[in-house]
Amino acid sequence: MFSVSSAHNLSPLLDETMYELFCGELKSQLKIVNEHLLALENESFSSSHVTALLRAVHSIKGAAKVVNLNDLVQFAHSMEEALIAIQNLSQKPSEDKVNLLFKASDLFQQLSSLSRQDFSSVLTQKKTEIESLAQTLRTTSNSVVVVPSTGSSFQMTSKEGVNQIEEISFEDVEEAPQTIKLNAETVNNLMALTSDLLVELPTLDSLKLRFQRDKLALNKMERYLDKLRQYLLEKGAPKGLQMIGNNLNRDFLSFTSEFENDISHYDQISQRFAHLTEQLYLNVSINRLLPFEDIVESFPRMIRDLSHQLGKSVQLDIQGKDVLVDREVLEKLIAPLSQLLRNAMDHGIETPIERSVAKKKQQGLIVITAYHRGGRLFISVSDDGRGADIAKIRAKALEKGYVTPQEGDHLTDEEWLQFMFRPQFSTAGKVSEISGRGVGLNSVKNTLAEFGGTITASNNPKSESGLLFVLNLPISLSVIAVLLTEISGESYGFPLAGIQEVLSVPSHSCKRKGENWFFEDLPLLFADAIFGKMVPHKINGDLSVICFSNQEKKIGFVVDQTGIAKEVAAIDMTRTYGKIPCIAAGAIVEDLHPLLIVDIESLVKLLQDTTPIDKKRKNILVVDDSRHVRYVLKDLLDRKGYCVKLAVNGLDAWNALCDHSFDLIISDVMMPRLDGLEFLSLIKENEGLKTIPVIIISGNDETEGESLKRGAVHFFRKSVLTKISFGEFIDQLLEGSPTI
Amino acid sequence: MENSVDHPVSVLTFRVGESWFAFSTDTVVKVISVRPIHSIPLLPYLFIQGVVCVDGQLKVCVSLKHLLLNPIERDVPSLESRLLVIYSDAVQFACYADEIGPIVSSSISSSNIDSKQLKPLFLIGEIKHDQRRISVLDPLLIGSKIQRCFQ
Repeated sequence: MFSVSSAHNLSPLLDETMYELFCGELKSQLKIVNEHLLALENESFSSSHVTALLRAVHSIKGAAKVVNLNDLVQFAHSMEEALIAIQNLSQKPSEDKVNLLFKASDLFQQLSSLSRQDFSSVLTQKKTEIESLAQTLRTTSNSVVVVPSTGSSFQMTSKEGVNQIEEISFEDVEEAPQTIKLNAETVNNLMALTSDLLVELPTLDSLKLRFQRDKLALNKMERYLDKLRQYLLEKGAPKGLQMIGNNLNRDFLSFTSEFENDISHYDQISQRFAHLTEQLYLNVSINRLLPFEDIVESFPRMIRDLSHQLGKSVQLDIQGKDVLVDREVLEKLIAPLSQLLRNAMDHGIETPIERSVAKKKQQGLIVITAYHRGGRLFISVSDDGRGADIAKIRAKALEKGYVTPQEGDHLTDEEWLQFMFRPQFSTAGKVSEISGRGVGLNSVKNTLAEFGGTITASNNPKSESGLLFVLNLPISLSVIAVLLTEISGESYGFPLAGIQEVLSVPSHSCKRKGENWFFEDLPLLFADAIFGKMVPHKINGDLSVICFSNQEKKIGFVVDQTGIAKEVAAIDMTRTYGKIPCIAAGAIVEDLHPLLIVDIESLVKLLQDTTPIDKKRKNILVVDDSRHVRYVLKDLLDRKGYCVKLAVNGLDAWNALCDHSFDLIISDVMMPRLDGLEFLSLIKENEGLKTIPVIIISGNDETEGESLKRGAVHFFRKSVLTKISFGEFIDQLLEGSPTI
Repeated sequence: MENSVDHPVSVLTFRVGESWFAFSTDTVVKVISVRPIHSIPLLPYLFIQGVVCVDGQLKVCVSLKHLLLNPIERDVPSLESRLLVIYSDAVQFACYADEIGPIVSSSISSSNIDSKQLKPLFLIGEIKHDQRRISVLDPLLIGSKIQRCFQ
C-alpha cells in the first residue's frame, strides 16, 4: 500500500545547490513528460512516446532518490507502472488515463517551483492528494510489473500465466553538449561590457583620423625644416649651425618615418581589435539568446487544458521555434503571448457546433510564428475563429467617446480593430475566468511598450475569419538604435523603432492657434518647453520635428537639431534609481558625454495626461530600515493605487516630511539614527504634522502600548502586513479610495 | 536620537562654497575630475543636477549647495572642482566639491532635530579640525532622498 512516509522532509544536510539541481532536473524531465503525453493523446499510438515517458519518469524517480524523497520515489514508481501498463496494451490510452498522468505531472510541476523552505510543508499538505493519485494510477495498471531501480527499463508481460520479461533498450542518446550554470547577472554584465566595447569601436577610427591629421602637420613641419636647412646652407651659416640644421632634419625625417610605421601598425591592431570585439559581441550575444521554443513549449499544454475547459477542439501550430531571441525579451513575452492565446481560445475559436454551422473544420487552428525582419523580431498570433465584431467595436468606441461618428465614417476595419487595445475596452458579453474584462489586450500593449515593442491587429488573411496579431519587438534590449538629437544643448536619443518620420519644417509654414503651434494638421510640441527649460515665444528658421503617433493622432516633437542614427549600448538606471520620467535608459557617447534615451511611449502618455488634479493619488510614507519590508509594503500599496515613498529610518522619514505631504505614515519601531517611537513623538509635537495618521508596525507586541500612547492610530505586527485585512484597513483609514 | 559616534572615524573633508563637509572614507568610492553633467528632464528638484558618467556607468549627480546651503543662484562647478563618488546602501551618487581637504580621524558629535522647525537633516554630526567646524554627512540619507525623487 502506498503511503507518504513521515520521513518526507528534505534532509537538513541537503544544501541549496543540491535542491536547485533536483528542481532543475524535475523541470526538464517534466517538459518531456508533457510533450509526449500530448503526443500520446493527440496522435495515433506509438511506443516511442511511451518509451520517452518512461525514461523521463525514471529520471524523476532517480532524482528524488538522490535527495532522499522516498514518497516521491514511490509516486514516480506508480507513474512508471501506469506507463508500462499502457505499453503492454500497445494501444492509445483512454482520456481518463492520460488525464491522470497529466495530473501527476502537474503535481510534480507544482513541487518543482517551490523554495527549499516551503517544500516540506507543501509536501505534507499534498500528502492525501499524492496518496490518492498514486493509488488510482496503480489500479489503472492491469499487469504486474517489475520496474528496476536503475539502468534499462523492463516490462513484464503476462501471457497465459507465463511472465516474460522483455528488455527495452533505450535509444542511443546523443551526448548532450557540456553546460555550466551561470548567474544571469554575470551574463548581463558581460553583455553590457561587450556592448560598451562595440559602441566604443568607432572612437578608434576617430583616433586614426587624428593620427592622420598629425601626420599631415608633421609633413608640413618636415618641409619647413628642409627649407631651413637649405636656407642655412645657401646663406653660408656657420658650420655648427648647418650641422644642427642637418641633424634636426635627419632626425625629424627618421621620426616621421617611424610615425608612419606606427600609424600603419596601429591600423592593423585596431582592425584586429574591431574584428575580435565583433566576435566577442557575437558570442556573448549568443549566450543571451535563447530559442523562441523556450517560451512556447508550455503553450500546447495550455491550449489542451483550455480546450477541455471550454469544450472546444483546437490545434496549435508553432513556427519559428529556432528563432533566437534575447533572454530578457523572451521572459517578457510569456505573459502577453499567454493573454493572446487565452483571448483566441475564449473569444475567437468557436465551439464545434458553431464551427459546424459555419461550415468550418471541427478543429480550430491557432498559429504562432516567430521571425526576424529588418533587425527586429516579429511574432504573429493568428486564429481561424469568428474574428472581431466590427459593429460592436464601433459602437463601443463611439459610446466611450474615442471617436466621433463623422471621424468613424472614415475608419477602415483595421483601424477599428486597434481600439481593442484601449484600456477597459471589451465587447465581450460576459466576463469569464479566462478573459473578457477589457484589461487583457491593453495590458499586452503596455507590457510590450515597456521594452520597445508594439502590437497591431488585423483580420487573418489566411482564413475567411479570425484575427491576426503581430508583435513587433527588439531582438535585444542591450543595444538600441537611436536618432541622436539635441535639446537645450544636451543629447537625447529617440529609439528609431518609435519614430514615424522626421521632418524639417519651415517656421513660416507653422501656424499658431491660441497657445498651440501646428504644421498643417500636425500639432507641434516643443521639447524645450516640455523638458522644463523654456517656452518659445516665436520660432524661426527650419524646425527639426520628430513625429510619433499615439492611439489618437500624430504628434510632432520639435527638437533643436537632429543628428545621425546610431546604435548605443543602453545603460539601465531603473534598478538603482527607479523609473525616470520619460526616460527609457541612459547611454554614453564620445568624450564621456551622457545621453538620455527617451521613452517615447511614456512621453506620449505624459502629453496626453488628462488626469485632473483632484484625481491625484493619496500619498503614503513607509518607514523601515529593512529593504524587504519597505518593498513588500510598497508593492502592496502601489497595487492599490497609492503613491508610496520610502524612508530608511526615522530621520530619513523626517526629511521626507520636509519635502512632501503625506496622508498616512507607516513606520517600524527599531531603526537606527531615529527610532519609530521618537519619530512619532516628533510628528505629534509639530503643529503642521500632528494630524497625519501614523500606523506603527513591529515584529513583536512589546511596543504596542507605547505606540498608541504616543499617538499612533493603530499598531500592527509585521506578520499581518501581507494579509488582505491590512490592505483593507488602509483603504478604510483613507476612506476607501486611493485618490483624493 | 542615537548618541554621537564616540570612537574616531576616518573622514574625507571637502569644501562646498564657504562651508566644510565630510564623508566617512568607507563611503567614498573615488574622487575624479570635472566631467559633463546631463540634466534629467521633468524632475522638479534643484538639488539633482543630472547624471554623470563614472566608469562607464551613469550616476546621479547632486548639488550639495542646493541640498544643504540653499543658494539663490544655480550651482555650476568650476574647473577646479572635483567630483566625489559616494556609495550608500546600494545607491551610488556623485557630488561636486569646490576643494578637497585632508582625511581626518575624529570622534563625531551628534546633531539634533528641532521638532518645531520642519527642516531636513543630512548630518551624522560635526567634527573640529584646524579650527574649522566640519559637518559629517550621512550618505544613506542623501541616497534615500535621491531615490524618493524617482518614486
